[in-house]
Amino acid sequence: MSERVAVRGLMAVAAREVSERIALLGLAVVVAAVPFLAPWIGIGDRPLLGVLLGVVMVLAAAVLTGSSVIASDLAERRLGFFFSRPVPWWSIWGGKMLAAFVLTFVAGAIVLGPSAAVGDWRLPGGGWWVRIGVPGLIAVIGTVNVLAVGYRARSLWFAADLAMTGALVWIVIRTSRGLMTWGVWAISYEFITPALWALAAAVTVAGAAQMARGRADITPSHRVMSIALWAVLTPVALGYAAWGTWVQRMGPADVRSVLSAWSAPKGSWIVVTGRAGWPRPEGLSATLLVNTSTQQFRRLGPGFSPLRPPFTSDAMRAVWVSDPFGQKPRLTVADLGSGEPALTDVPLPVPPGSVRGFALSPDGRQAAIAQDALATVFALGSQQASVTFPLGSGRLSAIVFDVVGRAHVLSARQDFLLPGTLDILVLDPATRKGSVTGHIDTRGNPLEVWGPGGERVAVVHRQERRPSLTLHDGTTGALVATLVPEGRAGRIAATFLRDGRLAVVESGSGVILRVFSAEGAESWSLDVSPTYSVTRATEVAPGVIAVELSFRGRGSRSDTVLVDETAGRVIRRENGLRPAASSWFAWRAQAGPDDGSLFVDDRGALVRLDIVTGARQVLLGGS
Amino acid sequence: MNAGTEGVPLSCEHLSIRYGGTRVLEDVSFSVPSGCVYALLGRNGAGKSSLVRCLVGQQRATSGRAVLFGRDVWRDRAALMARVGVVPEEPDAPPELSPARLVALTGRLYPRWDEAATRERLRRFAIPMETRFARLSKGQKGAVQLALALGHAPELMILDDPTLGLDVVARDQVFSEVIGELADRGTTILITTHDLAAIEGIADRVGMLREGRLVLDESLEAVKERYALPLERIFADVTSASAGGAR
Amino acid sequence: MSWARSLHVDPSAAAPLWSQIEDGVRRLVASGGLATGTAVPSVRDLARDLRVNPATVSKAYQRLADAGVLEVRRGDGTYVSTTAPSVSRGQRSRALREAALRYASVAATFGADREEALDELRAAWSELTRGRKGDLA
Repeated sequence: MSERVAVRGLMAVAAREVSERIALLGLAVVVAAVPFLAPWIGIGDRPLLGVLLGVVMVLAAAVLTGSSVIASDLAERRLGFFFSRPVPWWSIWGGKMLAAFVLTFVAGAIVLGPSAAVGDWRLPGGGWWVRIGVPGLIAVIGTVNVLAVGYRARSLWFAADLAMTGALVWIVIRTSRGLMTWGVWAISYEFITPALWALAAAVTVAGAAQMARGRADITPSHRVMSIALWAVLTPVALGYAAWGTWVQRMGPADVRSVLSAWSAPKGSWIVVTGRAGWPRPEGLSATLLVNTSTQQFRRLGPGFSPLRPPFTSDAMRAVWVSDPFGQKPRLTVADLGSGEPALTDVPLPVPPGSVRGFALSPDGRQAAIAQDALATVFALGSQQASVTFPLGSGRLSAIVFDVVGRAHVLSARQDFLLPGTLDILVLDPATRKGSVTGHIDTRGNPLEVWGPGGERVAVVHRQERRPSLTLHDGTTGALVATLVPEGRAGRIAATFLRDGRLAVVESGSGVILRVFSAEGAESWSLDVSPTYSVTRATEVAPGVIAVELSFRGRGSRSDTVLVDETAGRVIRRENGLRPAASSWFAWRAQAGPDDGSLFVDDRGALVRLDIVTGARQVLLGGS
Repeated sequence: MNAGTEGVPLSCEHLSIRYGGTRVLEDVSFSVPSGCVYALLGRNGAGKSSLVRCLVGQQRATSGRAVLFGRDVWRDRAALMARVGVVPEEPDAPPELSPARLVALTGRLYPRWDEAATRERLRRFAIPMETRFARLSKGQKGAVQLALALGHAPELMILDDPTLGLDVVARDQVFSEVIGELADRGTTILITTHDLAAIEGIADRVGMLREGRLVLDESLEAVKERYALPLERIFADVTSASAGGAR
Repeated sequence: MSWARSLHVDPSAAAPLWSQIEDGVRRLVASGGLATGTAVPSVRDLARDLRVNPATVSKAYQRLADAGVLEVRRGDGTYVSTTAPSVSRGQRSRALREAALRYASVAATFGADREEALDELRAAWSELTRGRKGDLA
């Protein structure tokens, strides 16, 4: 008996709510006609207007029905009419909620239907409904119901509700922002959908609890509803925060694919940037300081920095700029002497803004920072800058120290894409002065590579179209030689070797590697590959140049050709490997010689390659 | 339901209601046997409305319980309401519905419902069947609520101040209907009211609330024999704020 | 039922309602306001008219039926007895004695002496027999 009556009662309650609000559907009909009757709307725009009005209609209907089906009767002490009948609480609650859903859905369908028919678009498929449509609708109607009851109860609980809302929203936003700085796209479907379902569940439980336990009285109803709501949402929010914290505690064992790695001048410390895999979310990447023999590690930060962290030449310290593209970059020093490296934040005496270039002096005591519009040199650990000098803005500016401790940087006078002149700036912390010491003419869009000690600077002009490469004095800017004239190569990549020579890779109809002396004389040239590919070169071990050939359309596969830099001969071709020091993300950054023989293979593992034997030792990563 | 295990139709067991620091009802216990008409009297603020809400399972007592037909009404409200008719103090029917539609709606909330009898009752009360409930007079609203509470032939009726604000004609209609129920079916009735004169003829037992406590709970005959006064006077004495009361 | 009011039932009076109804019916029958063989209203109707609990009316009717003032005809209703109440001599004198005691107590309470009491009794009897045509107050 009771089940039948209960369901019949539910339908009766729902029917009453719907009939009371039938005017809403009448309004929907009128709104549906607007795109077709309004004479000033173009025919092509009608479906779009229809969709817009449809969305507005759905939201308005959800708010109107959700805020009144229960709250209205409850606040005006009319729920007793239903509670004094032999129907269970869920008949009353279910009937009213059903009416709200039906009205919202039908109102939306009335407005969207004609537009769909005319505009030739399809309703979203089942997946969208499960991910957004259904939980979103439940969440909106349920939340509006909770708000309406809370507001009309006029009790102090509402203040507690607002406080809890603020607290949980703050927790969620803080967690999400933290995740986003670590590369996790915390506003994708993977996050929005569970959040919507959690909210939908919470407001449903809260509404049901209100009806089951608060019944016809609004004050106890509000109290029960609040308690139920926060009992569901608080663990969800805290769980999210805990998960977010766990996600960010990524270690070397969690690295799946390595993006890039650099090794210290000596010893076993390396800096690795890599992406995590399941169970951590997609997009998460971190930069880790790892000791390859002891497996000790420290997390330096999210893995987005294109700035390779310099080690001091005695490999006792590494210096790291965290959040370089954010508004508040920080400078951290890792002390590698003792067992577990200690990380210390040191002052970064620069104005707020992205950091584009970073260098350490050879003795490790001075640091140089290049920002959008300013170059700064300061003593490491000092709160004050020693020298500052304005830069032409908008360029990724590599900054280097010469052997006497002065910082060199190029600065564009005007829009750097156009032909013009680059100034060479030298900042001297000893005299606390910066000055323009020379000029370099450019055809436009220059990319510079500095030689060791700032003695030479090589500039690639117009990389995007008929590039050329010139070699200049690192202080005066005087042209030493034009190493690649305009039009000879499709792409040019240049890198300095440890001994001051310059290795240049030209890609065009094939790939050619040339090595020039510091005076611009060609030592040798080598045909590396007959086919075109996007290439770079790096010195990976003393006397060995690695030329990376990457092929489009072959996934992320690269091959590397190892070249003896003295003899100018190919040692061997390694398939499925690329040098770890040059990541595509950081390709504009200053890449220097690295002795670690670090490579990344096809599966994303970080590999140490024995140049002589070809043996590969996997250090970490790889799926 | 086995009458043997059921006990009385209505029983209050040590019912207390407190809102924060305020005590609305304190340790109220009484019972209404089958077929009895129980009049619960008390001044405004003495806790009558809260008590009624507890008796119909719409409010939870702080301690103690309200028991209908042997079952805790807070827990078993839905099952029990099939046997109980409730007429609240404030009309709570959906204001936009006409009496005709209210009869239809209410009928679907009960397993057994006599639609013809309900319509006949409304005709007797001269209620316009197509006027929105909100537009009816207070007396007409009360009559409609009464009719809707009788349509399922309840064994127990609970009326909260049914004659408040009604004119003589409307009052008479209400009591006439109640007496008819009593005569036809021996319905058990609990009335809370101020209208002492009206219930003086009808009540079998009388209970009086003063500041949340039940200070009197006896058959009307015994009360009148003891005091030899009209009920109005007894009530004034017993419930006056200046204590004493009982002789 | 206009004679319902002539029963003079006052809920706030001290006497129990059933007793008031019983006395009222007796008075009406005795004074001729209620002729023998007349149908009396059903319990339900009289209760509604008087606005009293039907159980009260039922109890009064029961006592009147036991005393022979009313007779219940199955399926037909309740009527004033056509025959004089057939009570035994003992019952009759007991009833008279009881009523007399009640009256005597009331009189004594008010300090009346026997002469005054008897005078009042005579006057009441005259009133009763005089108003045979239906004495409606």
